[in-house]
Amino acid sequence: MNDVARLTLLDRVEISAAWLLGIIWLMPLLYAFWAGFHPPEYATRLDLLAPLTLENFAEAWSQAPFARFYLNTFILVTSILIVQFILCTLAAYAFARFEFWGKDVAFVLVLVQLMIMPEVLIVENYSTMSSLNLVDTIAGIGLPYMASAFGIFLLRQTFKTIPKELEDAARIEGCSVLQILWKVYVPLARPTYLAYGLVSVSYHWNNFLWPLIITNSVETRPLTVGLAIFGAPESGVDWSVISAATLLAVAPLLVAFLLFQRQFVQSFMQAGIK
Amino acid sequence: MTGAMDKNRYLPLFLVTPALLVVVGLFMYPLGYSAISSFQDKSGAWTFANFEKAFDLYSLDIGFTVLIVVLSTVAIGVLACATGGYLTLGENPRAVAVLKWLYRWPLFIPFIVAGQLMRTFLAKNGMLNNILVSIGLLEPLQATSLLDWRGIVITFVWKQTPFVALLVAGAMASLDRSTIEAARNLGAGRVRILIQIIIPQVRQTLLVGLILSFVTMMSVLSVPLMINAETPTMMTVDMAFRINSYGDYGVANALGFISYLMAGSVAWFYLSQGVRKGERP
Repeated sequence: MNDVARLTLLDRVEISAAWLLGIIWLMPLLYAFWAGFHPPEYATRLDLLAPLTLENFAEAWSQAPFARFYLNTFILVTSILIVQFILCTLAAYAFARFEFWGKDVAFVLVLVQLMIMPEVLIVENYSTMSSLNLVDTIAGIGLPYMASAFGIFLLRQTFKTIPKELEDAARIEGCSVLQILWKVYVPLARPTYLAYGLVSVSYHWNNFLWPLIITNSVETRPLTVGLAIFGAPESGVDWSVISAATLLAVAPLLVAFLLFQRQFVQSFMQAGIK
Repeated sequence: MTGAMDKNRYLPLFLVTPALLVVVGLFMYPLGYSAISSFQDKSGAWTFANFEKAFDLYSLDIGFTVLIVVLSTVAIGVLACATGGYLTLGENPRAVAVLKWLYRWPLFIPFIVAGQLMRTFLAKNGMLNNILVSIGLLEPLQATSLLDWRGIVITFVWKQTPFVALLVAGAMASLDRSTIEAARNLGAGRVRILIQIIIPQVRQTLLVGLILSFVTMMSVLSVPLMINAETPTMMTVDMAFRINSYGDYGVANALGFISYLMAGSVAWFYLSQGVRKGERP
């Protein structure tokens, strides 16, 4: 007897309900796919026989410098991630494994940053960037986020779970502090790095308010700001083209999610955030 | 020997200094400076005028922001617990697998894209109303736009629930199954097991997820700007408006100060919970 035959009526109802809920949950995203891949006259009309088209994507690509926006966003998220990994790793190691003067105060400063988003500091950060001549630069967008409280917190929690004996053994073998970090802590915290890396990339790919304020040229604007200007009501662009542009903006993240979702979910489960 | 001890004494400071420099220079300094600036006029004299103006012009928006964010946080909490609970207690492996695969997708959709999607999806002549009309659940004349407070809440909940659900489901999956099985054997239903046994054990994780969501939603500009930029709207829209239209940094700082007081009070609540339990954060 096969699996389908063994399903009871209640099983079928439960599976159908799960599909229905899931599809309702995904409806806005499915709608973007629908509008993006169909002619404008079908943008808000569900007709299963409607013709498919890639015209909206061609139109969106020709109306805005998406290649430049992609490049800017890629440089932004990669540079932030690299610096965050370095700064957060060093700080998290110190907080997890050392007793030092001012440790509690320093950790409270980090925790305060965790609870207040940098967006509320845009006015003062703008003047700081202005005095550093970093307005309208990619470095200016990224600098306020280089030391992530979330990253420090997450890595500190993970480092605390790593047996101290491994560090002692590495030290006896003659490893320096940086070698201990690189050869013991970093490899064992790999799931946390992956989880945090995806959260960081996703957050900075998504970030809008600060890049909107600090940039004013195509050369530095990330995708989100370009998309907002592109999709503004006064630009007169129709919904199908906006949906296509939206999918262009989000496609790399969705592909990354599809490729890494198993590792990402496992990483989050292992990271044990409390 | 003394040299080695000195080296060890300074080592953690060397490790923590780069991150602390960024935190102090680009977070604590602007935080303190913006707090001070919000109490000063353009000549630098101490005043409450920025706050008076902020409350005169935007008290409705401040209340609206609190309402929207609290409502969204509650809804996210309920949905995240329900999702995590079903993934942990679901007895139908296929339904669990379907839900597990589908619920996470909005996690990687940027807020601006979520706002963009919802703006076209929830409009009066948008896809949602068209589908409801075409399947007969709604008369064409009954169709209304959801691009108001409801649209903002729907977008926040849609975007943030997967993040909290992921944390909560992770915590639930790592629980000791024996208490759950014992409750099952005693005849407890799934809802009762979820509420009385599972949620209390993952409370801390749920709180962290909800607080991070609360703080994130407080700072989002794109969603209220795209879905409902007219009064009442959220404080981030007002801040951007004061800066872009009037160069009024005093009132923008005052609004910022009010918003981080709100976020700070939530953070204090979380930390006080940890302290009460005798835990270090």
